[in-house]
Amino acid sequence: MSAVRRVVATAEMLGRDLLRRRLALLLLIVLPVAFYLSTRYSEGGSGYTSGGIGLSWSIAGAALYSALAARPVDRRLVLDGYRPAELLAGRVLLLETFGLVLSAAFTAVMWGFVAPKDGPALVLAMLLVAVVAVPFGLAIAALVPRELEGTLVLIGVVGIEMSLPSSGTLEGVMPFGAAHRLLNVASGHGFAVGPCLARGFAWAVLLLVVAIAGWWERVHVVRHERARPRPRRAGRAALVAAGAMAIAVIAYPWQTLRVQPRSPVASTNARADAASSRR
Amino acid sequence: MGGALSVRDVTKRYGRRLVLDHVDLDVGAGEAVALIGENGAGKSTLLKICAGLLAPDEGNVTVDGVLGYCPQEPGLLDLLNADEHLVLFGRAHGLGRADATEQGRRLLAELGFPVGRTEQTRHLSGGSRQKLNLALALLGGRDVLLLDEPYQGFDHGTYVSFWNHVDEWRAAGKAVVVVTHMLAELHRVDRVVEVRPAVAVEA
Repeated sequence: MSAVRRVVATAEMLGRDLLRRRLALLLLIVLPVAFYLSTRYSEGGSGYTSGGIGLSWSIAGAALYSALAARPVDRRLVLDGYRPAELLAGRVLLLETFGLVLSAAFTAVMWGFVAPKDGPALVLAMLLVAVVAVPFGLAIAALVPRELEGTLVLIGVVGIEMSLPSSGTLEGVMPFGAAHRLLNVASGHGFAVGPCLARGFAWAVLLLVVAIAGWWERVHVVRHERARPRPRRAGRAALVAAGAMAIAVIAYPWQTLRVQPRSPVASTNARADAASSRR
Repeated sequence: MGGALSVRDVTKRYGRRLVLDHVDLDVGAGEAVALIGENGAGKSTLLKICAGLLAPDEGNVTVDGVLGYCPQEPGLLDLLNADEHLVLFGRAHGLGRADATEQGRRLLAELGFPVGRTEQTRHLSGGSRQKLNLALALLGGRDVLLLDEPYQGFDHGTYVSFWNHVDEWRAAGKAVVVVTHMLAELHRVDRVVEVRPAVAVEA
């Protein structure tokens, strides 16, 4: 019970911290919208991919900076009795809530501008962006301890992979590749939704494992031999197992999961037919 | 001799530079010890090893009781206020919101921190930040206090008050280790340990 309270306290204080960064919060909301609109009107099309890029930058950026800002305090909290996993869990709880709310609002905005050919795919894709972006930002914060370097890694990975063709093998196995493919499904291109979701969630798990391992390495303290010894807890085996399973899902041959691209026109017609038959 | 804090044969290197060479230190319950020494001698390193923030290359540390560590640089969240820090740190010791706030405010009041201030810590003076830093190290009731120059930025009254508190903590049975450059106050502690580069010698 005290562990849950520590997780909630961490989430609460991070929430207060985030809400007080008003300008940053405004930018986190405006950035994906501005990026989406600029691409949408300059290049035409649905602009969903650029929306996904903008959203993943926003959420991953919030995760990265919140983790880096709390770094001086985190080791002290661990020294006082918090477990590294509790701090991370509190952060994930708050950031995923923030990310999902932002994602839902942004999905509504994009839907309002361009109705998707496959609405559920758009919703799932944007949900997947939020789910993957939080551990992505936390993993970068754990592995790259400085703000500038971390930001460059974030911009680099998201920018490069979202600009790769969605049917490419390389793009398929990158963190936001599954979300990218789902965004293409929403635009009328054919990919199997289930495997995309599985791979996306596997990336989220893998990044979370990396974040936990990296974070533990940075914030753990030496528990001295005590005159009154305390029992030790171990969760490393579970962490390794989760990471291995995630890698297995990500590495599963993508070619066997792909379906033939369907024609956007045919897709639209099929949907129109279905709608008229319902009427 | 064993004690609340026992350091045995601790050696620490930063790269090829030997900082601590087979250091022993014992601090008993109800004892106050001052660590002195020139800059870079390894005082803060020794304290960090005692706290568990650094691992020694050799040797071991034994702590009997709950440890409180006050770092030289206040590790605070700039956008949270004092009460929020108390709640966050209090949770580490199983304190509820009300208990943490009440106990923390009492500690802050003793240190001369204007209790009830709601501004974020980034707006506090250096001395006030340091008072909060020290109060967080005391929150929850600690048996062994490791204080790394905790009075930086204190005004004269608070500085005097701090050393009075050291007396009180000692009288309450706590083991207190203070890293200090204030040689005029060394009569306030039971023992003085001088840390010299790569060697610790009882003064």
